Amino acid sequence: MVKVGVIAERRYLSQSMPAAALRALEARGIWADVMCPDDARFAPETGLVHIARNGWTADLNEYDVVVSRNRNGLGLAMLSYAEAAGVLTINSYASTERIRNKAHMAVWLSRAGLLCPPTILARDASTLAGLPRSSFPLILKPTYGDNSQGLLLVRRPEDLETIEWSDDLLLAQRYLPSDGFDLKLYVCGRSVFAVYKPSPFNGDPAAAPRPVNPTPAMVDLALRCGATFGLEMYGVDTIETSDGLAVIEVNEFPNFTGVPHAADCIADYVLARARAARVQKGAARVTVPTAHRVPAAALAG
Amino acid sequence: MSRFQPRIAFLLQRSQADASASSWASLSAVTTEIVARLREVYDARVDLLTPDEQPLELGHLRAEHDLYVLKAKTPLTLAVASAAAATGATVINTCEASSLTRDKLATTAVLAANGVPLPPSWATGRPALLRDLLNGRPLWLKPQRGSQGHGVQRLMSAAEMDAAECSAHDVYGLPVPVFAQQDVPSGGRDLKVFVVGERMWAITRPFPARTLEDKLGAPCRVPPLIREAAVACGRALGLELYGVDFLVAGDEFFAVDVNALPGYKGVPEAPAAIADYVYERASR
Repeated sequence: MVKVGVIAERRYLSQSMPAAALRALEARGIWADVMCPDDARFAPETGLVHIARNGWTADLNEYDVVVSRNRNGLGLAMLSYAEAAGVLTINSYASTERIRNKAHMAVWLSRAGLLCPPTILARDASTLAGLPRSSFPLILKPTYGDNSQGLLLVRRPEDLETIEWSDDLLLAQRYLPSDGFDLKLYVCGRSVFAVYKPSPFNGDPAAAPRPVNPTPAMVDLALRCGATFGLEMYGVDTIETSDGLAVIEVNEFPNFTGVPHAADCIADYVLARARAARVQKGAARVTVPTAHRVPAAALAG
Repeated sequence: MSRFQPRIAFLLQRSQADASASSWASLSAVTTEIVARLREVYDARVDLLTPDEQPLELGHLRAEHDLYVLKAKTPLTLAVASAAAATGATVINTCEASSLTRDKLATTAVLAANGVPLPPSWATGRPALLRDLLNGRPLWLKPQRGSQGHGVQRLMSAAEMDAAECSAHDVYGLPVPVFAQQDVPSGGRDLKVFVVGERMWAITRPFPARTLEDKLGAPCRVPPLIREAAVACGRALGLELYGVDFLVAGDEFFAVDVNALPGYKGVPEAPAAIADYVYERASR
């Protein structure tokens, strides 16, 4: 029986992910352990996670796979442990860190040669004052944050004067106008889904997501983003421009809103990966010496 | 025959005090010595960069140097380092390793999973969950990110623990986790190991170090098991230039802190060794 651990912030448990994926796993006879960093005490020295809510203790070393929908520092430390201990992690700690910091995400997207809106990193808003008028409008984003948290639309250079930026790094991206809808690509393994979703600046509260069949260009773009960051389950926010699809942002383990059968797809993918990892781990036990281990024993002379 | 003349950049942060000055008055003595040796002995072109002063346009990224030494770890220097690596330059220590090492929780988790001996450690967003761990032994409470002992508290009682309740929250609304380590009796000394590639030095100091003389410590031999543990720390975190602090308690030892590119205080050979290492890496 495959052992699945899920690290998820409590705020996500009421959302469709990971809740629907957990139900899909149950339908396949797998009861995953859910660890919320919100009420956990983690012992990084042993890999034990004590969950205060029900007095239960999980051992991260024992899972075949740890699935993470979490951006909190405690949950990420748990993820980093699992990964360093040789447990399969989806998504990995390293790939999550690459996109959690939006400045690094922007750098990696440029590195991959993907079409992105022109992006500038700066310490504060005042250092952007020298930009030509043609660089505007700009969207200012904090380094960390999700769900369009803290986004600021700056239409003219003069507007910069009144901005007090509290974060220690600012990411400024050219605002690319859309028709009120962004194209969101969702990926689970090699499966790519496409959904038109109302943009954060869409004024119509009744606007609803609209799934479409992804074109080969969409599939190619989505998989290139995943390869860039090392992600397996993720979303890519794009905008259609005259030069093609531009990548606005990449998110790890999104809600897959508007994707039919996303939960089944995720459950099947996680189980397939976990079974493959288990076989590999078993083989590794025979051929490869155990991890470098320094005994906490006597200090020889 | 002319020798390869590498282009090397140091990523630094100009301190507030220097903002108006054009000179590098506060460049540390160690960095000054490394830079001088690279220029004089190796004829390298060395630039001191402070990326915090101008905006960085990602569309115009181009690595102008063969190697970047990531000294200051500000959000912008880290981004510049990441960008330089993206365009094919060598960065020491890498951006990923430097970021990971700044996160005490993730660092401890990675070291433990790689078999490095550590004091019993816990992390939580709710310090009340640490109450039952006191057991008459004090706990050290450390911030998740921080260096040089900032924000470190030694807690003896449940009452002190309750007073330490988290007040900071992250951007996602969860409390910033606290990191607790059990006090291990150390015989009042710590052992600081400094690493430059394959080379290693150790100094032993009174713990806690109070005077400048204390901080300089006394050079000592690196015991073989500690050498092995220090190498394991570097491998696990991906560091090339780093320091590891160990507490030595009788015949046991524990790694308690890892620093990327530290000040190498008390090791006069370090700057030359770093310059040699950096040149060698830039020429590879």
